[in-house]
Amino acid sequence: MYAKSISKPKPEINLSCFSFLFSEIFQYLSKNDKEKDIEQSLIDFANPIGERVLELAMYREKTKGKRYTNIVDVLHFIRGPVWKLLFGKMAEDLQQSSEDEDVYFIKDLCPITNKYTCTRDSINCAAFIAGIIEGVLCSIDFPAKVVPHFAEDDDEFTDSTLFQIKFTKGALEYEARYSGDS
Amino acid sequence: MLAIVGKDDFPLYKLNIGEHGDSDSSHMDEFVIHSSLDFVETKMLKTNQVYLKEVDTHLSSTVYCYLTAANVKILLLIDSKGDDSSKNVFFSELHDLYVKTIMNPFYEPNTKINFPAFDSRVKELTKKYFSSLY
Repeated sequence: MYAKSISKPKPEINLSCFSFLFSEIFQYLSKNDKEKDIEQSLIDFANPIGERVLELAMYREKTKGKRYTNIVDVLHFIRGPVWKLLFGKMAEDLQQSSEDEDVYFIKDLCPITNKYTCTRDSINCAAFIAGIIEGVLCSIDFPAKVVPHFAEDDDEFTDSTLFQIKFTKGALEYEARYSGDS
Repeated sequence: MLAIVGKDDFPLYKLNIGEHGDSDSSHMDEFVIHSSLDFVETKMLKTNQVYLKEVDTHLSSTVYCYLTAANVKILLLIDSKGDDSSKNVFFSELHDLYVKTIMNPFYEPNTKINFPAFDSRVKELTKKYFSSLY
């Protein structure tokens, strides 16, 4: 395991393979946590994946030797390199909420988790991806709560999902400490 | 001495460098490393570099620190001043090993690293970069 290089991106994994595993995960979680909300279970399940993804994506980043010290940079990093690592493309859109300063949205037109799942069924399987984002943000010390929403304004892409990212107070304070000192 | 410290200052891994690894001083070394964590916290807020260089000194030895993406701290306590760039290379090779470890699906992040393969690789690395201590 240690002998192999990790700097080169691995070949892609079959969509069918992923979908099969994902459906098993879904069934396992729905059987095990009956009292819990399935979206929340998916988020919790994906959380540790986020930390790994963060380490790997940062390792492969060109800006090696730098760390991210503000929230917007981290979000761009998630939208770009992290999304590319996971799905082979960039996320569609990143925007800040007009009402709250600590709320951001990342938009993906067709999340891979929703490809073969029945959407519009009140359960959004992209919660899995939300969990990964949450894991990334929490381990980079900007704790946040990520909630998936179906984007309603799009008729063409029915799976289109908005990830609502709400940072905790601690994250904002942490960012302020960074910029204040430098 | 080499130590990897995870979230909430949880120790993930430690290794005594050099021939006399298990002498009495290893307790003291551990103490010095852990007391330097406060300096690391202050210093990491002031820079966006991963390599923090010297963070603390104790008698003749110096503590060096390197941060990974998830702010896991890799600390090195060593006597010799030595070449700074070689330490940088040492740390980035160690970072490489750490990332590989964390990608292991059987390893839960932020728990003790307990793999013989990791251990022997790290020992090889320290022998390569700090041969004067052996």
